[in-house]
Amino acid sequence: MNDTEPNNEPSLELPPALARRLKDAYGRPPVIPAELDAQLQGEACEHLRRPQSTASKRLLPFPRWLAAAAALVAAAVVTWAPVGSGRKDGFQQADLNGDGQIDVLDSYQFARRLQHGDKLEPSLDLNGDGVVDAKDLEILTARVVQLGKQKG
Amino acid sequence: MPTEASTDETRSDEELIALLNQGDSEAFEIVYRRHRDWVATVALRITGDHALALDVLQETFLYFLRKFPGFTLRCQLRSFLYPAVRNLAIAARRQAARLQSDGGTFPEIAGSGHDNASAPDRIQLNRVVAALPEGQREVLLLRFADELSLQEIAEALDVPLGTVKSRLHNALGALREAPETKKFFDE
Amino acid sequence: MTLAAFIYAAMALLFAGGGASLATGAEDNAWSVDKSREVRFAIVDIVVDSGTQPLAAYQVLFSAGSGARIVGIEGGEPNVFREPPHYDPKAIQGNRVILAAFTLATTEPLPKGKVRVATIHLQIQSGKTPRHQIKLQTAGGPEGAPLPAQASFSERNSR
Repeated sequence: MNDTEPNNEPSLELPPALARRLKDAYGRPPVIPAELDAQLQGEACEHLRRPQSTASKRLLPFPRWLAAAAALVAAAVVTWAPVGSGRKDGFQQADLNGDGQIDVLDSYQFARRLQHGDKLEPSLDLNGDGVVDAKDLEILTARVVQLGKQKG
Repeated sequence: MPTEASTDETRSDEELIALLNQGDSEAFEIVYRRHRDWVATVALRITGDHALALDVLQETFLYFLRKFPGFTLRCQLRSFLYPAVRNLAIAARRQAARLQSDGGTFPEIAGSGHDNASAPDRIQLNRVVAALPEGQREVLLLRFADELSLQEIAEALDVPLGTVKSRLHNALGALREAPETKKFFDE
Repeated sequence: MTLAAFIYAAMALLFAGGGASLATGAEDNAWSVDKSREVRFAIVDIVVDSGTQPLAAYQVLFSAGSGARIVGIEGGEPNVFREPPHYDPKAIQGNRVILAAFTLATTEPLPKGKVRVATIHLQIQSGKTPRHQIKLQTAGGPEGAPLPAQASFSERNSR
């Protein structure tokens, strides 16, 4: 255990004998055959030797500060996008049950339609990646539980 | 492949991952040797089956390998690996359970040969630990069997540190009250 | 007399200047445990009562009372709500949270009646007895239609 970390709160410690017992009972690995080690090492050599065609190479080099600035602007737009009632904050298209509220029942409808393989409206592409999928559902659900936008 | 692993224990996981991103397979061997036993231990604990645990061990490190090149470690490596081990182990156990008649209950302690406790003591301890809610049991074992720090556990489980402390607090309370483990607190 | 006066004045200065740090061990409050900072953990079960209708989705707003703050959130009792609900991460270390969850489970029946849907871990300052509040924002059945349900909570322990 790392003694430099704040782990030594007395109320969160076990008597040493019980800690040892737990460690002995649950902290021992199974026997691992050498063949498994060798197989994994072989896979590693194979994988790591491959040309790194998947390494991201920027088509156009641009400085990191510009990337950071772009990220900040994007974050600001997302954070300060007008929010108000459930209808007027850019999520109104996600009112799938048409009750005037954006809540978990809309998330539920969204999820059911995804599960059934229904074709969903392009307006539900909330992250703008060209596909309406579970990632958009996540965004909707995050919006549903977001504090500060709803009146208690 | 060399029969003895290069045991360069002075290099941190971060340094080794940087080398892995450059295609250094020796760095993988060091990382593998460093974390292999822990991954296997967690896998065995969740699957309750030696063969399944080895499958999960293999899948976990293949999953890790496929992250390269281009992997950035944002927490302790074990915190990163734990969700993968857990999810793979649960999936493996479910799949095995579908092929068998019994469901997935928390396994009995596998006789490791290292445990000096008597069989009745082992069974008693297993009973108490198995009776804990899953979240509390998980935190308890990560802390005291795997010796992860509270922060590492929070990152591994993707929960706030306060939740880890609360679960651990309650788990310890249960151990303190259970007749089988109360005696350890009275010593 | 002059020496005594000087001694008395010096002692007065010491006390006036926060003499706790120079007090004897018995009076040295700087080294004693500050009881006002002790905390206790509490576990609050969140229950949605759907009556005779099967519950497939819910959304509640929980407000912890004064002196309490939310430190953890977990799932509930039936398998379909065993995973932690959705919530805003900013709720942690705060005192308000909106919990929402739904289930698409088709292999087991949906729960009915009083359903423990979630668990909230609270850290409460010593000596405080906070009064929490809960409001059901919506609940839905398997077809997604709103249900007339009620939300409540109960504190499991106060250790």
